[in-house]
Amino acid sequence: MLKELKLYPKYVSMSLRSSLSYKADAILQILSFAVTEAVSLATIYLIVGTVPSVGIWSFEALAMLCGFTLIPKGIDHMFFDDLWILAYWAVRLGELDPYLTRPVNPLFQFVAKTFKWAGSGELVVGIVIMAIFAPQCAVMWTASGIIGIIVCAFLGIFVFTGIKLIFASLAFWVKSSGVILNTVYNFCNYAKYPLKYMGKAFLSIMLYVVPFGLFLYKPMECLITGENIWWSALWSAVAAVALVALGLFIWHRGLRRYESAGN
Amino acid sequence: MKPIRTAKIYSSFTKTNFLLTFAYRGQVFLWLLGGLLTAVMSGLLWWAVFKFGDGATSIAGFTYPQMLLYMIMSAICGEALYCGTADEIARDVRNGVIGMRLTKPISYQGQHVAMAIGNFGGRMIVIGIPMITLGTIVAVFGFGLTGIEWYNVLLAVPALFLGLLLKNAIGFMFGQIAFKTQAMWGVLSMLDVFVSFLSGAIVPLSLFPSGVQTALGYTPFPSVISLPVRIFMGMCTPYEIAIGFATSLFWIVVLNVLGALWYKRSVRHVVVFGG
Repeated sequence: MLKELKLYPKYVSMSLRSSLSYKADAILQILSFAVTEAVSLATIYLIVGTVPSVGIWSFEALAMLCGFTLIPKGIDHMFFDDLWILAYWAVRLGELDPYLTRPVNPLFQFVAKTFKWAGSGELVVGIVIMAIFAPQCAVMWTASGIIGIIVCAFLGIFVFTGIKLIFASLAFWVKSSGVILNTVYNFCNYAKYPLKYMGKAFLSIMLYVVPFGLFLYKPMECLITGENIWWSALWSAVAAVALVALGLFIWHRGLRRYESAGN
Repeated sequence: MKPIRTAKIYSSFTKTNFLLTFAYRGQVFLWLLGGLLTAVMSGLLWWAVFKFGDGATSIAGFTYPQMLLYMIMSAICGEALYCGTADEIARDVRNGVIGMRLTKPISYQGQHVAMAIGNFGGRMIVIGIPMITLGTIVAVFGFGLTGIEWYNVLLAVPALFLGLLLKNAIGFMFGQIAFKTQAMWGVLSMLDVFVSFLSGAIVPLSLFPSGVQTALGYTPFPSVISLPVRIFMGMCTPYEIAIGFATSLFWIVVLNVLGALWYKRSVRHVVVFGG
């Protein structure tokens, strides 16, 4: 573990130097994230703007929720983006060989080799949206609430990573699991909707099956209603540990099935 | 004889892409599942807006059953009209395959049109027709939607086809950016988001401010999704349909001419080593 920690800054530095050699490309990627999220916010405005509010959710509150969802998503994007490559191509084309010949954890090498600083586009847009709309929401900001939100966002990074690792590792069995991963991952986009009013079945799916609602939606709802946010934080921690552990288990089992020849 | 021979050459691209859809139907089904999930979520969101909003029975000219069918239809049409033209140009440039394409005595642009038509045909049979039928049955018998007429359904077919040609022309134009930058992932993401948003695939265009609606009326975007879906649902007058078709044809010609001119300039920058 210590070896990996020492190596990590070197990997990041190498990745940054590599990506910064194509500055225009990197800026285009950041811009695309920012544009995508701006359109997402505009969509919420067009839908929710047709009524004064949807239950407890005004447009401003939903905008704040939209901004919040981008923070763990953006951080996960920066650090663990190459799991998409695992899902789509790496197993199918037999590209994991170099990582298996070096005396360092293969999963660490695979995710550490790319620091996707374009993910900062999502992070910055998320923070800006929250900064604009948080003061306009009818929320009693307390120290406990603010710390709770930060803890949930932090735990959320690992839930994102766990889910990505689980479905990307399925590629060892199905050769290319990118479409499956994409379908599951896109559920995170629904966590910015007023889940409470979209049916109990859907709320349960978003809290317990694909738990994006647990660390993205629920903490914000707690802030608005004044409920205890720490229950959300506790369950987010349970989800993060369980999903990362399951992801690591599937990765290790899958790696045994890996064939260098690809498919 | 020459037009027949030309049609025969390009039809082989159409046929290949048509058959490819069947070969990868599992993948196509998963993409459709993603699209349908989006439609279901949008349906649930609109249900929340109608039920927990201010109690209005109609929003921007849509009742809830109409909104539901609009969201289902736009999601399915969005998937059926999937057009990988810009993506394929980017791949050809990146891998250096473009060099080989240039040696062939056929139009690169025409080849993409033929491939898009084959792809569309396959997707309509595998997912489009079954899902549109299912969505309509749900909206009509489950939510009491009225106003679906057989002639509107028939008119929606050419409207969808024109939407495909427009999407292909837009894709071909923006695909030329691949000759200038390697960062096509960002460009294509932005293009996809813009086209979806401005064509009414995400929300009906009647929700946009009136000034924006008027401005959009002069662009090709509403003809891609909004027009065919609204024709299908019987929400367009004959005059609107005629104007919509004329606008689509106008933009198909303009965008293809612009695309051809841009392509002519772009190929001068080709480096066939890949990268």
